[in-house]
Amino acid sequence: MSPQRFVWVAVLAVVAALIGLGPVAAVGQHTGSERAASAYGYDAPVHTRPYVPGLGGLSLGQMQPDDALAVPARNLADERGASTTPSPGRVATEAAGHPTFEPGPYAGESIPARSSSQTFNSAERANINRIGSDTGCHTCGATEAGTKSGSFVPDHQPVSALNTKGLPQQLYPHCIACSREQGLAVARALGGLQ
Amino acid sequence: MIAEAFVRASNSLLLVLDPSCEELPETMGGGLVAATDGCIAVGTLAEFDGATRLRLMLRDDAVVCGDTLPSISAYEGWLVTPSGIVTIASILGDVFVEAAVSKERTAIQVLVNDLTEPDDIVVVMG
Repeated sequence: MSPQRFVWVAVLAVVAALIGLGPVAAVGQHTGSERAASAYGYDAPVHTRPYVPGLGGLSLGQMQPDDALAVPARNLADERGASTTPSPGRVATEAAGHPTFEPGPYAGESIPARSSSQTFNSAERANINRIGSDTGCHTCGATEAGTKSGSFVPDHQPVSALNTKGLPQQLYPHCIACSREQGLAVARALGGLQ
Repeated sequence: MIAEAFVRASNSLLLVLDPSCEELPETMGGGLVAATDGCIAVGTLAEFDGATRLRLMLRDDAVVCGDTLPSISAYEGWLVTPSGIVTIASILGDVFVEAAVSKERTAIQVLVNDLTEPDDIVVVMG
C-alpha cells in the first residue's frame, strides 16, 4: 500500500469511529431501562431489551452520522410536557409524579379492564403475557416479567388507588420490579398509613 | 409467634413500619428490600401467582423455631417505633399483622425463603 493510500484508509477509519457504532448500539439497547432506572433513582438497569422497530431508539440502518453524536430522539419528560391532550393516566401522574402512574414509554397494545378489581381471567392473563412478550413491560421495556411463573403483572392505568374520578382503565403488562416500584410510589402518594 | 397471615399483597409489596411513619423508601433499587429509619419495604411472591405466608415473631420464638424458618436474612437493622407498634401492612394501608413494642427503636430481621419472590416471610423483632 502506498503512503498516500495508507493515509486515506486511516482517515476513513477515523471517520467511521467518529460516527461510532458503540453509541448507536447503546441507544437501541438500553435507552428505556436507563430512563426507568434513572427515574427511580438507581443506577444499574435491571432489564435490557433489544431494539424493536417502532418502540423508540433507532436501528443501525436508520442512523445518520449526526445521530451518533446526538441525544436519543425520545425523552420521557419532554413527551409528558409536550402532550396537549393528557391521557387519563396523566392526571394522576401530574398530581403525584411517578413514571409508573401513566402508560410508559414502551406501552403498546393494552386491553380494557373490566373493573379496578385485582382479579383477572385466564384470557386476560394470556393477553397481557402476549403483549408483554411482544413489546415488554410498559414502563421499562423488559420482555421478561421477572416472576417465577413468567407471567406479567396486569397493571391498571390509570392506577386504581389514584383513580379517584373513576376513569375507564386499561391493562398493560408490568414486570415485577416496576410493579413493586409503583406500589412504593402509591404508598408514598397515599401518605403511608396516615 | 405473635401473628401469622397468608396474604396477596398489592403490587407484591409489604410495608413493615410504625403507623406514624411518614418517610417511606424512595425506590426498591431493583432489590427485594428497601428501608428508611421508619419503614422496611419487602417484596413478596407475585400477588397473582399465589399467597405469601407472613409471620411476625419475637427473637426468642425465632430461636426456638430454628431450622423451620426461612434461611435467608434479607434485612437486619433498626426500626424507629415512636408509637410503640410494629405494623405489617399493604401499600394501601391494609394492616395484615401488628404487635406492640416497648421501645422507640426496635431491632428487626427479615427472613425470606427466596431473594426475588419469597412466599414465606418472617419478621423477627427484638
